[in-house]
Amino acid sequence: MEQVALKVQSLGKRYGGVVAVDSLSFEVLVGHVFTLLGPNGAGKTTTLEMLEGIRIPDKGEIELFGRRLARIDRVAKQRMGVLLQEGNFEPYLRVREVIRLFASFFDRSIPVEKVLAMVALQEKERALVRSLSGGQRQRLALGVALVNDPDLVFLDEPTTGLDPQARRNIWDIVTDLKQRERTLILTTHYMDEAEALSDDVRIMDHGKLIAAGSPAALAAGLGQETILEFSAAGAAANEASRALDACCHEIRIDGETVIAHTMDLMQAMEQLLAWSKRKGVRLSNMVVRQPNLEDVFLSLTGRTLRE
Amino acid sequence: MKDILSIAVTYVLTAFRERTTLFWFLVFPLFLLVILTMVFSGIGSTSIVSDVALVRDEPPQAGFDAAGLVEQAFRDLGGAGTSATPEAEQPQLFALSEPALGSDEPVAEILDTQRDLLRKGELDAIIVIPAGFNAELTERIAAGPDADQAAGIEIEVWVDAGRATSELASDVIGQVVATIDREIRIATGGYDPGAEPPVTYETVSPDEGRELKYVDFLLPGVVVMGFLTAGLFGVPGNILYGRDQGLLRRYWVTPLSVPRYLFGYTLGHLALCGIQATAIVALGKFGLGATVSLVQPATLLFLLLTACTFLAFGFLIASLARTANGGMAIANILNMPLMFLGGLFFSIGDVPIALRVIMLVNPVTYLAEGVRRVSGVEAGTVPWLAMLLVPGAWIVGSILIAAKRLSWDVER
Repeated sequence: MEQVALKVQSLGKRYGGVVAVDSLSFEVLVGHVFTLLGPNGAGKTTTLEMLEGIRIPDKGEIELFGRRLARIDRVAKQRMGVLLQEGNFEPYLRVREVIRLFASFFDRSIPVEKVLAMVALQEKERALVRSLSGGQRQRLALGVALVNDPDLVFLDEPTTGLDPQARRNIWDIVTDLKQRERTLILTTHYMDEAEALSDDVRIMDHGKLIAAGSPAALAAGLGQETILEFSAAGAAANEASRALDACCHEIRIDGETVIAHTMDLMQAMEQLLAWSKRKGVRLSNMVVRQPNLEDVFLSLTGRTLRE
Repeated sequence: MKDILSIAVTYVLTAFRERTTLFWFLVFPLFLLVILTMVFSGIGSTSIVSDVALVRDEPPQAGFDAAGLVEQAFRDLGGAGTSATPEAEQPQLFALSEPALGSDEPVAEILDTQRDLLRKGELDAIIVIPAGFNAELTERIAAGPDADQAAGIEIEVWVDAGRATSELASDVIGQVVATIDREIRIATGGYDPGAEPPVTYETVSPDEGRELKYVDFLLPGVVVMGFLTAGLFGVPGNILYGRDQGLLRRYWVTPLSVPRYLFGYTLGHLALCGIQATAIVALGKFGLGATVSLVQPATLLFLLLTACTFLAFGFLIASLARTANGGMAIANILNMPLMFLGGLFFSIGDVPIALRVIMLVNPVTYLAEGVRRVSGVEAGTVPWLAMLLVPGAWIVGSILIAAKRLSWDVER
């Protein structure tokens, strides 16, 4: 039986009259990457802040590696590493000094050199924080989150604003942590990131969980539908979508791109091509694919992940 | 303990690496010490009215009364009520009192009483016209140009060396006596521009053997000012910037607690104050010739109380402001009255009642005087208990308000 790293029961938080998190319950298994998805204002950040120990829950219970807690305490934090979505370091400290400073907060820590190697900042060890690039700062933040060799790591939008190479570096570190049986809790705005890294996904909206499962299981939850995507110039996109009305249960137009969900791909293709021939409209960028997390998210929340 | 020490070391390191902080913490107090010492040491000021007592140990004489003429000269310069012919346009230099006038008390006792007042800061100087003054002067006039000009006809001036107003008063008195002396020498045909002015100075400081200068008075004031600036501007700037920029938030997701952070922060702040004070004292002693010693247990304890008071003040400001800029604005508003109505750079004499109220509640008044008194620079008038209780009350009050109001994380 797989071990549970974190168990959350009926966790709740209000800000004034607004319910930010409404009786949330879930489990995170040891060695898994657990991803929380949700549009802005869904309650992800509040949930994470309660689990990271920044905010005190109004209600509910947290069980961390078998310890039951009303809130995250110092003992719990000894086993946790947190990469915050926002937050700076002292600009006039050197990289090595930052790591050493944070290492001093924990009972156990790994050598500074090892942390520097993990996040590939050896060459920058004497550089002041203020002189680092965005990607280097994020790697430093990740190094600081890993300085105590944590069993549970929180990664709150770890790659937002980073270039593709920097993103790939962070993914590699996450993959390495996963291989070392560390438990990770991730939030992200990048669907490819969630799909590539996650074992388990929860989708939140309005403070509640609305879907749960692995990325594949969630996508499969949309049924046997197939997605047909294509581009048509100008007003033709609208006309094409009307031509597909009869055989597609969900059609979305994004600029010149039409995204149609159908249970009968053959009929949809026939109707589309017949319409195209009849009207003399040229279709381009045609793709037939299975639903992904983005489609699940859209179907559940009515919004894209970045909205 | 390593977490606390790390926070303290971080505080000191970043302060030394950040130019603005370094300027206000170190460069500005040193600069101020040099400037004030250069400007005010040994130069009289006509804009300050000094409280001066004139004690005449020479009875009035019929006929030529030389002592009476000197007395009249000081009355005229003082513009005091006893002057016979006060000149309306002449600026008043002294508030002159004549305690021996019409008194049957022996002059020695009157002088003792006046010296006590001088020690307490209620007088800035005492002029003593010694017995035999008339006879000596008459003799010199009679001898004409052949008189031995080196033989002094001396007027004693008692001052509280190290107290700025006392030093200013003594300078002006010296100039007045030198002018009278020159007129007499010209009248008797024995004028020698190189002759020494006929004034002897005596001091009434607790350390009778030490000659105190203005820089000795100034040095403790600049140290206190350095602590004031560090607390008032450094602490809220640091904490509010750290909170708003998310620096503190990174700490709160680790096992570091707010009390342990505060302990480390306080340690770092006190260490920085120690470095600052050491630099100021070193410059004062080795660069400007100060003789006051601040390295003694009582002075160090008072300096610790001073640093803690302004640290608490910093927390108070941080708790009242929403942003770092707001904190700086509050600090700027408080800085001027705290600094200039606390006797940091000059003794404060008669001020309007409204300002006196600020002085009475201003912890700087007590801390500056306390540091000076325990280091032997100033006798002082404030009771010891008040010097401990008023800053103590500010510390407790500030901490209580800060504990209730100060948010350690960004508001949501």
